[in-house]
Amino acid sequence: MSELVLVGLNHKRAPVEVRECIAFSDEEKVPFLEGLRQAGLVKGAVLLSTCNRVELYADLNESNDPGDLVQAIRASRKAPPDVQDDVFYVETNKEAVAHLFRVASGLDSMILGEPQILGQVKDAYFLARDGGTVTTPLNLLFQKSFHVAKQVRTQTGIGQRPVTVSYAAFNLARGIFADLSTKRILILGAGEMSRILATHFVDHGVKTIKVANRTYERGVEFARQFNAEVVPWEDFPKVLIQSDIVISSTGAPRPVILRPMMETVMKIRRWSSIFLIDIAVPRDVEPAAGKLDSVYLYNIDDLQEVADEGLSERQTRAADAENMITSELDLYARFLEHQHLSDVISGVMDWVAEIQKVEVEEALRKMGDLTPRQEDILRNSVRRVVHKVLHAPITQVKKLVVEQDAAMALQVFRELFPLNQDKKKDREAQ
Amino acid sequence: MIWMHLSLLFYVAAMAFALMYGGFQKKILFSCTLAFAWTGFLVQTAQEAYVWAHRGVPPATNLHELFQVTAWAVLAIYLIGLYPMTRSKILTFFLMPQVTLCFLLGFVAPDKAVEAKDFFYTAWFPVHIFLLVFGIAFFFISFLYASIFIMQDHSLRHRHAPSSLPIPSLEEAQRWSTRLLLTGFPLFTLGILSSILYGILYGHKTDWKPGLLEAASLIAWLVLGLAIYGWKSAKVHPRKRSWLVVAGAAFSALILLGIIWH
Repeated sequence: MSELVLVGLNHKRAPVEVRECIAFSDEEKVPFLEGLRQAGLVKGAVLLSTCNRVELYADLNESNDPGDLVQAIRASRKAPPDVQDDVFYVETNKEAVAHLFRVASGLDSMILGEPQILGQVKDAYFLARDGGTVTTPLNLLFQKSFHVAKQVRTQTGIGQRPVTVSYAAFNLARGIFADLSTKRILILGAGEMSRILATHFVDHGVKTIKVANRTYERGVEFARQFNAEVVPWEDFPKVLIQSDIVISSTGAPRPVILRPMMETVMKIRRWSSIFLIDIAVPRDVEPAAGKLDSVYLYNIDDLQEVADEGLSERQTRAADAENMITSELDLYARFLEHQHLSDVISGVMDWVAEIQKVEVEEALRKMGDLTPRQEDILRNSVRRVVHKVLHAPITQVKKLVVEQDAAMALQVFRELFPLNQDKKKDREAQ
Repeated sequence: MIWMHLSLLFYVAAMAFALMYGGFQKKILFSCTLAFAWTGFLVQTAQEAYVWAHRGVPPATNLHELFQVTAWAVLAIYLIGLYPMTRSKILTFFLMPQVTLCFLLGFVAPDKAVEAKDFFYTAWFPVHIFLLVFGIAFFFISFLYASIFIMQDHSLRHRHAPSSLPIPSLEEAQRWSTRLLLTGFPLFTLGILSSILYGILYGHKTDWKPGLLEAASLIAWLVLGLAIYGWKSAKVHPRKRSWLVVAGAAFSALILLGIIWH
């Protein structure tokens, strides 16, 4: 029997200084997994290494010790001696499965419900599969985890609401504009927050960006990151007319965008919608400008509020997701029991078929010359007798697996038929 | 009549699936919405065609028939024109309940035979009716988009998190509301003109007594005309324009009620 084990650490147990020591690059993963297998520590394994977690999902023999895997990770990473073993967690079987389901669904992520983790889990699985270290139980487990994560995402909608300021701004922009790729962004002030926000928009297809900064040279340097155009600071009101989204963080002591300026801009724009994202403190946009029709003004607190609202929504949905995972876990456990049952039954059938074959051949040899038809009749009779004798216990064990303690039922069935012993003897003989 | 009941059944099913689609956003739910809406629409089309052929007059002579033919026209615009162009699935969430309600109102409204007028048997009548009905149907969907615009605008102004419903963006809602209004307005205008022209040409203008029907038509025409003027001149803000569309569509709905008066 194999055992499923998870050994790992994550952002909840280990600070970034530890995580960065333990993290694996993609190139290091397959050799590490192959090394574990060759050393006889695992039958197969998948390694998930992201900035927030390093987790090894391993298919072990009963004789293997999960503690060896912790030592193997430590040894391969040359972790500092002050890193204690207790930063690692070890889970087995059902707990390991539940953990993977939660991880893939984004419930164990630093940002609750974030979608990237599912892609990272898939990448880890495909890398291990291509490296030949995925066994059948691991394959089943990961396929199931992808299915569960997808179900959780679509049925609870956990990832729909934004939980970060930049995602909140992006989501609001999508509520205003139909196609962001055709929209023009004006960035006022080359600050760090502007860079983060602009990166988010660029990553989602925005192509036209203009930058205006009081220090022109700094603006040029900033614009280079986004392949953006730099405009002189004094020209920004003109550029405002052609812009759809304005990200402002200038550090000016007084607002730089005033209501009269926006009134003029909006008239020229024929009241076409404009999204003003004011992340400066003190604020860059006069609040009265946000009262104008078709002007959607959000300051840093507004965005944070939207993000907080999203987080609380995600927490509510996470509770539903946990319930879904619990029921999926039960289904998966039942599925595995049936898998084991199929393995055991086919083992019994093989064993019986082998005996049947030997005995029938012996009988045929003793009986001397028989016609082919007589031989067939004998073979079929013996086969029918065997199948009829086995029918009752197989039906009974299937019933027990479904209705009562599956593990116990399978164990009793295994004990009744000397399958393991024979296989052990075969292995010893080899 | 049995066919109309069958259509109603399909529309109710389509509405139920559309509402479920709004809640769960599963493709299968939308496919069911579309399938039921199409089936109901085809059954109704066959029934309306049969009645027209059998009676020789388009089935739009009383309020009962007008409500149903308006529901039919709204669905025709969505299923044949709007959905293939926009692929907007969520619109069914707003549209199907209204279509079903409109159709249901047809059942509630008295189906009394209207005194056969000469006008019914002229070529003017189908032209007049279909221009008006399709004009109103375009306003109806334009009204839905304008309502979506107002909802989105309200949500953004009051700093609410974006809706979990994948409703169209402000820009898209405004674009389609305007396009539909611009399509419906000429039809509606020609519909009104056709009856006036008939009155002038065939001498019925002397006994013409304007009532709710005429007043509602005129107000709807003026309000929606103002919305178009606001769009063209950019002198009316998009939010106010959307309110004008909502008001204009409401007055155009009064036209149907004005039929009772008439």
